[in-house]
Amino acid sequence: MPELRWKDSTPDRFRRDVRLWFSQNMSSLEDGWGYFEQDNDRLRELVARLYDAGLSGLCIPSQYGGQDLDPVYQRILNAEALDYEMPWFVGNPGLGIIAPLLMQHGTGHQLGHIRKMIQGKTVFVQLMSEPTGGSDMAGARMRADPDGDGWKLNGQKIWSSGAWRSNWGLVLARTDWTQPKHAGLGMFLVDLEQDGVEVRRIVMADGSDEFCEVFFTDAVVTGAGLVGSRNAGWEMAQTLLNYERQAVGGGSPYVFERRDVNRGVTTPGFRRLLKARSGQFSTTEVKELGASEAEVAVAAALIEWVTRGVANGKLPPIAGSMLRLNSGLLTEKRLGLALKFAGKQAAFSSSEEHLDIGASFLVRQASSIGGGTVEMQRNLISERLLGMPREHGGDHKGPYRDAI
Amino acid sequence: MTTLLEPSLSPDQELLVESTRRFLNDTRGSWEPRGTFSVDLDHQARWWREGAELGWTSMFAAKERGGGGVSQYPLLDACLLAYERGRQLAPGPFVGSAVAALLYTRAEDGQPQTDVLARENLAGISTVAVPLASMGLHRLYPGPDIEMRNAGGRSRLFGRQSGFMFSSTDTGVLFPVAEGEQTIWVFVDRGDSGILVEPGSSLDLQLEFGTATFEGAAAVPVARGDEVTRHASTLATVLLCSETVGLMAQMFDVTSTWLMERRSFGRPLASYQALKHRWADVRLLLDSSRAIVVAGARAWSDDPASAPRLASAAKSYISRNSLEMLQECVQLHGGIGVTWEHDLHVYLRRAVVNSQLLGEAEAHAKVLGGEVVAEASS
Repeated sequence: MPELRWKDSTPDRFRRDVRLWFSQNMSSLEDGWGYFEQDNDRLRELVARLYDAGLSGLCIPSQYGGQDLDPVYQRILNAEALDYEMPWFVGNPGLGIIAPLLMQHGTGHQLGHIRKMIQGKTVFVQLMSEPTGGSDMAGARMRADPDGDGWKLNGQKIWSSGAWRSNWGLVLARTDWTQPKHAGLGMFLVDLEQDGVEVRRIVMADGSDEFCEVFFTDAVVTGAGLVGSRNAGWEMAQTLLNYERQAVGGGSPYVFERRDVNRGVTTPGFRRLLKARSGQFSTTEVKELGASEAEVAVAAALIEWVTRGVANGKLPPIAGSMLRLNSGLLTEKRLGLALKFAGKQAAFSSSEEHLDIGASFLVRQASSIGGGTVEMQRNLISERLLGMPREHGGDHKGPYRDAI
Repeated sequence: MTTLLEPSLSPDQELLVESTRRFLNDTRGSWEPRGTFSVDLDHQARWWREGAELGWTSMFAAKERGGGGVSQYPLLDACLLAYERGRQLAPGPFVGSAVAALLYTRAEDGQPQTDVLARENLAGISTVAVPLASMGLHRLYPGPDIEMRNAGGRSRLFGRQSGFMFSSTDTGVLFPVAEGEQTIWVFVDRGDSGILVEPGSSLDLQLEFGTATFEGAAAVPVARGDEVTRHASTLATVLLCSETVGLMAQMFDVTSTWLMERRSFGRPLASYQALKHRWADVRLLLDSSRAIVVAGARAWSDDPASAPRLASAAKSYISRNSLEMLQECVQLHGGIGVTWEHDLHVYLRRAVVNSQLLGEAEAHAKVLGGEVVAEASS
């Protein structure tokens, strides 16, 4: 059990203490957007520093190594951390998505990963999508074949965000080809630091290379690595998806997260742009900015409203899909607005100054695709939240080995 | 299908909502959202007094008089009621009486007339007309057409004030005028010989809006200052938005049922993906609207400095989107959605009127945008 550093604190006192600690212990970052380049060593160092100060895993239960606090404390920490270099990726997907799954379905041994995440010793990546199917996650073709007490994995995963800096992975693989599609899957915890695992980075349209392809060739999973039972992979995946939807929409209390409602969907380039105008804006522009600002405030309010409702059991967990849908749609609008304001400066410039707005625009749809497409959210909301009839699927009903 | 403004309520809040909901259901035959003003006035007055007993007028009244909400969030409590009333298009000056109650608590001491007004407002015995169509966070100062000056040892009013929302229970009007460098809210008795009230027509079939012309009417001072006006405008804006969200929620439920039951080409409308996807977007809009109202209502107690900004965000978002959302409901109904017989137009009428009260969407967008620009330049 870690020492419960803040159990006698109040939110206001915590804010003051955290503000002071950050100013003395973390590097300030003008925009905080250089974080994509953090490798595993840098992440570990930052998390360890936060852990030693009792600031890692604030809302994780103490039996798993956390500080057992109310979500408001994590929000306070995140707000204070905005201008500093932070280990954002230990939370995504590790503490934000995989830790909740393990808290719900993990064995005692597996729960030990949570402590390691909080300490900065473990960074996770999710390995779900394959080249033949992103949205159709259950169509996974990666093989998980029994091998002694454990398993051997063969196949390929894609869109694995941050796999290059991760040392552990959560993998969905097919454990039983005699079962229909959804029924023959298993979820595994895999050590990525082994010979059978190869990670390749994918370059995106804006030049970034956060996403990866991961190739498994007789990769080894121990017997302790199966999460849930052998063919319960789809059930695990759906639980995972609920947590992911909430987290992607901004609703996880376990993560360090850049979510300042006034800045979270405004790129640094947009902010610099507005500043460079020296207050010269037409009435139309002022109204456009204001209407958009209203939508940002609404998005933040929605996150609070839904997470409160789900936490109190008044809204079903699938309501988290609305957060994912909204964040995608809002980002599309905000980046469109930024492009409009940047005008020529997004397209050509004597310096690199505002070109990042143009670059962000090129990958704008990524926020409506990754973490579940907005189309899938609309299916889920209409079918599972609103009870409308399901789509007719074209899936083969028999053993999956006959379907492909 | 969640039909609540805020899913997480305390038992007291649930009771508050349930008693109003039951009262509205039980007395549903008493009023007519499509009606004009030819309804039994005595009955209306009695009905409003019963509403007052259920807490409709007490959230912002002075605690010494028995005012206050049922939780630590009195504006949320009031919003819960505004939402239920919006769902049923229940009559009565709910927003106006809340504004009045707040202003009476800011009155200077030793004002017997204000005392009477406050007491009668709380009991539902009488109401006052407030210029909801002319006031708001976008416009804290009174219009240029009205002047208050000293005549015969009293403050008297000259000129016109438009934008009042009138009710049959009104004993007078309550609105802000300029007094030297500051604004002051004044009451004028309807019986004063110096006031002429002129109701006009409205797209809404139930509400009555109009103008008051003053020719030396006596002005009773109630409350002073820009801060009071800002406070009252924030309150009114969040409450009105809650009523509008009630309108949206009711038509959402009606249209959801329609989509599940209506069949076309051999299957329910609800089974078509294009319509499912649009309906998911509508549900997102509805819950977003609920969420921003609740955020504004909670900020009123938790973080008052942020409440005006959240109120403007709510008004900008909801005024803009409520109309499109209701039109989507019309579209999904096909031909019957544009008939007189269907309730949709009645709800649209109220939504259009509400979108123009307390500052339309663009006015609030301008206020918020001004803050963005100021922050960017700092």
